[in-house]
Amino acid sequence: MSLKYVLLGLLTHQPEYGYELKRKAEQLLGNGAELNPGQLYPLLRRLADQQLIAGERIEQEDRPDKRIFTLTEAGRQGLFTWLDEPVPLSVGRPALFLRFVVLLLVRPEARADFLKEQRHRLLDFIGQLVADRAKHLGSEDLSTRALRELTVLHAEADLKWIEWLETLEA
Amino acid sequence: MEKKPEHVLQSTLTQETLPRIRVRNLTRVYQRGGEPVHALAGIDLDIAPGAFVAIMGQSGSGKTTLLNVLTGVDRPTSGEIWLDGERLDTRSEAELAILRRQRIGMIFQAFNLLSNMSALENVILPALLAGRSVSKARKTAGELLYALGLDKRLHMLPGQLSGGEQQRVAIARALVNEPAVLCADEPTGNLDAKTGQEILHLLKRLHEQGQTIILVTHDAQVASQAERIILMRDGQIIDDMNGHGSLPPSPTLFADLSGLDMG
Repeated sequence: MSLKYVLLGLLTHQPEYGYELKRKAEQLLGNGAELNPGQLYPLLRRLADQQLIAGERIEQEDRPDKRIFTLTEAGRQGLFTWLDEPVPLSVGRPALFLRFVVLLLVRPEARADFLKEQRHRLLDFIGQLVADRAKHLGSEDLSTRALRELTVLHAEADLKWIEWLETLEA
Repeated sequence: MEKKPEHVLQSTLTQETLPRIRVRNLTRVYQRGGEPVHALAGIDLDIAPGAFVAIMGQSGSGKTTLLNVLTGVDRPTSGEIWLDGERLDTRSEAELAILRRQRIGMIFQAFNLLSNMSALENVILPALLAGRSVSKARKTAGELLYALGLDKRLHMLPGQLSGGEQQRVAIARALVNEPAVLCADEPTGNLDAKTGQEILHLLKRLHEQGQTIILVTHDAQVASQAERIILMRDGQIIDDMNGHGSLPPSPTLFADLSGLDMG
């Protein structure tokens, strides 16, 4: 997931100040997301250098100048090209997988305990997500809900994977 | 308790620390095609009063057999079952039936309401069977249905109610005799996601009010809401862990953007 296209997408609606872009991007990424200004502003500068967006300085009397960003035609085209591309599907190497294979290499006797520990953490994580969902029932935007469900389903898949590994032993 | 228990757990423990349910070396062996199937292969388990326990496992893991044996619906092949210090596995069928009616509340995936009786009558019936007077049974049933938000549905038949409403009637029915344990077998299995969440939320509320709950489920999302999760596989308990219970979710749950490409 690339933040670049979130910003370009937001600018298709209207020109935005940097601060508003940050706020709207955070909302789109799911409530609670916090973008680091130290990463966001350099990215905006890069996009301006690539002429995907244009930044215009607005002078302010007693405060530092602020910049308003507009999507360029090249930016619009880049965005729609990306949207029409197939979403990449790949055999990923998630953190859980990497940790497991290295553990097998270095500390194979700890395998059962490792899987058990991961199960406890995953169930607690799912528990938090489900409690969070109940707390916000009916009061959220689609992106936050969609992110939560995706996360719950991934955690459930991890649990099934652990179960699969455990039943291999039996 | 009207009747003196025949066997009382030899213990100096106080009432608070006596387990609500104690199970020792419990087995249940079926014969299938001449082959023995160990549906329960030696279960040891203590459940404290007021606990909210989920028994989780795949189908065939033995979780429903365990619930059936705990509630007296099925009999163990060997082993001991104690409820509040009284031994159950040595009781006769007739004694178990009475005990089940008075001390155990059950809810099911398919609700199991009597289709030709109103919501109110479904809840009153077990109270009458337990020997309550009609007026007292009616009063308790009405209060429970009111507390569960069903006061406008009292005289409707189960077929006129939504799935969530039917399950709430079933919960009222299970609670009408103030059971020592509320047992729920896949209580959200027949409900859509939102209604399932509401039923789960209701169970959490009952737990907060002190009700002991045993919930059987294959669903990690449902199990995670209990305060303790027991995982079964091949008739055995293979893990016993803390659930999320009534803890609040972390406020920073969605703050992590480490998967995001800043390019």
